Amino acid sequence: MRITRVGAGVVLLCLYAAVSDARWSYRAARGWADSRHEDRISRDGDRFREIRRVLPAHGVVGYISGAQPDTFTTEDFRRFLLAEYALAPLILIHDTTPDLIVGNFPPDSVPSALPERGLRLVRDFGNGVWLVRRAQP
Amino acid sequence: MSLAILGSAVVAVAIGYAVLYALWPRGVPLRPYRWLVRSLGVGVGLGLTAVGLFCWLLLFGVPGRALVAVELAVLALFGGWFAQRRRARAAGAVPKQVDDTPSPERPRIVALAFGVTLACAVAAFVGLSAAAPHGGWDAWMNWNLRARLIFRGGADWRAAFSPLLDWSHPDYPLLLQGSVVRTWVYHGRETLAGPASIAFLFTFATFALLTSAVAAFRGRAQGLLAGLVLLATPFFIFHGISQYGDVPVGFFFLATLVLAALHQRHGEHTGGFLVLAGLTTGLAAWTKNEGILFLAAFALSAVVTARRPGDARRLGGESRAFALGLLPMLAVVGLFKLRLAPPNDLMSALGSGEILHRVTDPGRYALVARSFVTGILGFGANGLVSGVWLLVAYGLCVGVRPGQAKMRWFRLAAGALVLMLVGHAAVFVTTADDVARLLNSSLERLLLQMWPATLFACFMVIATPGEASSPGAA
Repeated sequence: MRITRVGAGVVLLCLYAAVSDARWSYRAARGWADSRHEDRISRDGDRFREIRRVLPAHGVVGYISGAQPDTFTTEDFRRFLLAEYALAPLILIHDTTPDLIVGNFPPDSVPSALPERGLRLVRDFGNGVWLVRRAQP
Repeated sequence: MSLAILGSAVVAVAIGYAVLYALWPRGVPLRPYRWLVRSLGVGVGLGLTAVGLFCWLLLFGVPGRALVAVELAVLALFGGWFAQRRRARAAGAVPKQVDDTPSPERPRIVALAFGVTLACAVAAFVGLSAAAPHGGWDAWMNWNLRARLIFRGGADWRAAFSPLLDWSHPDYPLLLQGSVVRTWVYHGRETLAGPASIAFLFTFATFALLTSAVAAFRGRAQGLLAGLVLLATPFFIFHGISQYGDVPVGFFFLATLVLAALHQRHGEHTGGFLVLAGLTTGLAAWTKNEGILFLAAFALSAVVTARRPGDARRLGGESRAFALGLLPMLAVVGLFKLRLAPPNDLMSALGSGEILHRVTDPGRYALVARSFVTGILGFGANGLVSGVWLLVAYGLCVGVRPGQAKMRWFRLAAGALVLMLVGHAAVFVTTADDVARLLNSSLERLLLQMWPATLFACFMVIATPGEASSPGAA
């Protein structure tokens, strides 16, 4: 069988597509299998379901996670973003100056006490989610 | 997916078609371009309805079902107008319609590969979207977050652009976020199917537009090959799934170049194509800030490539038609940037001393140049070969059609794409604090935005399998 240059070119494109097809098929199967479990972002959003009911509908609230701004890792930032995503339209600021503050700690390493002075725990919603208020002087 | 989400898509696409039909030049037959018009209508419809949602926000606040009623009324008005126009046309002389579609040539292996790849890509898209329904990191920290802030914000929706959220790019234009909010308005509440459906529509409309446009100009086999390469580009599908703005903005870049090619193909009395090209360029600027760079690159390329005696004279009329479509969209972008959006994070940190320090640092140029060369040559790699090397190898196998490469629209398209690269390089050199990090996180996405338009330009000049096989082929 004689393969022309044109034929070789078309076969090359089809081979490229075939490799991608294999990837798509594998990824599709993985995706369907993974979709049986709730994804991490939805799970994280569920942690904030209860606290959303007691927070104001709008405005700015503080945020505390135990991590200091100078040691904020990518994972700390991701947790902050996910909290904002869950609590929108409230605006979270990584600060404890607002009157109301959301505490967001990893569920497996919840501190035994507030990591900062001058704050008062209002309610522990479980899974590392706290509602904190500035203590009255 | 709920019926309401499907309805929101159908209404948006129908509005897109209606606008395309209204602006389609009368002497140009629609039939050879029906698939092109259908795919173009998806992006134009989603873009225009997102503009409509933004205007509604400014005038009345977060919309309810009244928005649905207004959109349906707009569609009914278009329908009535079309019916009247059809009667008027039927009564008058029917213009001679020239069907100059290239003859179909569809090798069976190409059609088979195309079908299999399309099926696999759709399956991967749906499967991975089901596993990660919130999209990628930028989708939920930026695009979908902004949609939530607007939709949940009610009367306080302007807080979505608070400078306190500067880490989430509140200066980004609103086409994507507006489209997501619109699906939720139709549905009556938030649903993860909203952003996923928008991502699906833009991803597969881009693929359909590329395939149908190349097929209309260069024959079916060529169209299928162009679509095949785009669908098989892993980053295109993965990025579509991630619900970012890069695939949608790439749709509008491609649409503009397709419309410019249509204008050239059908002679001088097709200002409607240029009005539409202005509109799609404006919608690109309403999708991402890179759309503004595209506008500058496209305009500059049009001026630079108008070098023949008649070109400069023609350019004046063409610019007016282009501006007619562009200016309303630019007005919307300007209103957003001036009234709502905080300054861009990259631009606001700039001082003249800092810029001077950066532009005189040869190390930054070397780093950017090295990253661009590596990024471009490796773009679209799927484990076998990169998409760029694949194109080069295929081009060597079949050759190019020099006549196509000399066409004015091709010079315009190639010039715009090259100027885009130059513009991106300039942004990296001058604005980024940590240029290596920015290159690492964004260069591949920027190249992806230009990839469908690049494939269109390439498959327009590469010989078709039929041309390459015939005696005396290039």
